[in-house]
Amino acid sequence: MNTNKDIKDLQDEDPQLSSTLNSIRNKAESYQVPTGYFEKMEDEILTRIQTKNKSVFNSVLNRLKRPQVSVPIGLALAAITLLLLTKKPVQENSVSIPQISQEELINSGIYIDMNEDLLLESYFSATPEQANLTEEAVFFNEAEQYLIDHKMDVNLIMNEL
Amino acid sequence: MSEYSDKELLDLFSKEESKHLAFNTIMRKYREKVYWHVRRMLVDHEDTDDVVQNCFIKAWDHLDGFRGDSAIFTWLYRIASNEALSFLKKKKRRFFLPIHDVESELSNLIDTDPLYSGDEIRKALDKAVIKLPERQRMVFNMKYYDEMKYEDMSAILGVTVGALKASYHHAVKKIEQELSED
Repeated sequence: MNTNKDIKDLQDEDPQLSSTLNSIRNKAESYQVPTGYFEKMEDEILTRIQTKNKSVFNSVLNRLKRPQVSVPIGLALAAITLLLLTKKPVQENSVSIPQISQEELINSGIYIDMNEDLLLESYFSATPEQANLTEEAVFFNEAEQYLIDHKMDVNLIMNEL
Repeated sequence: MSEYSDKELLDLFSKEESKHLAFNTIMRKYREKVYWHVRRMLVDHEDTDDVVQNCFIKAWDHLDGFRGDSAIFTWLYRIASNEALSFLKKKKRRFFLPIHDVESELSNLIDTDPLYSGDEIRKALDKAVIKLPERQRMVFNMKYYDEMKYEDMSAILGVTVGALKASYHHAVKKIEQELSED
């Protein structure tokens, strides 16, 4: 257990780095970027800024195109389709529309995070007192938490996608 | 490139005719620092590219409301830090990956990524860093690689200087332990 003196020592000075850590520090960056990446970055960001409001749909579509998203979604949709096709009706004459809650969607793996811009828009429209934005209000997590805390209808936002 | 002060950049950004000039200057000045800060957290270039772009788009959207209470650099790092942590959180939630699997995934990426060129000892360090808890990893990266002042880190992460020093101390000890076992 740390004593008060130990804690004070920790706070007073940085730990001495081992010779290994000291030597690695001066080596070149181990992560690389594609050639010309930084030079193109500004143009790409400015293009995205200019087109972002026009095409929220494309942003979602681009995410869906990524294999780590599209493969699980495809598998989950196939599983749900199979489940629905093999499910026997409870009553012969009743017509039921399958109700899938957001929790079930998450459990089935096809849940897609809401578009952050739409979520933020909802947050700001629900909180007119935030009209004069502070930098703290920029963060997605706070907006997300606010919507959850206030039980806002996320389906409405999802329908806009 | 002309060196504008933060105040000058904010003034330029507030005028329609110089808005793009101001924002381009900010991007050129901070793009690499922000990128490497995020890349060391996410490892994957494509993920990092997404997060960095989102970070600058948020900066564009909200720079008008930025009051200049902190430096633009601090503010951008703060957005980038939150975006990176939020991305990792969403990644775990989306794919139901336990922490261990996320570590394994990032660690495997170091072995297979064509955009990784570290030698064996560097690879061991990068893998040891991945094993740290996310916030501790961020603290370690900011101090060890970026040689950032604790006061700046405190403004970015909203953690006291004392807690940051303790966090860095523990991170260094864990990493040295890992490296000595390899």
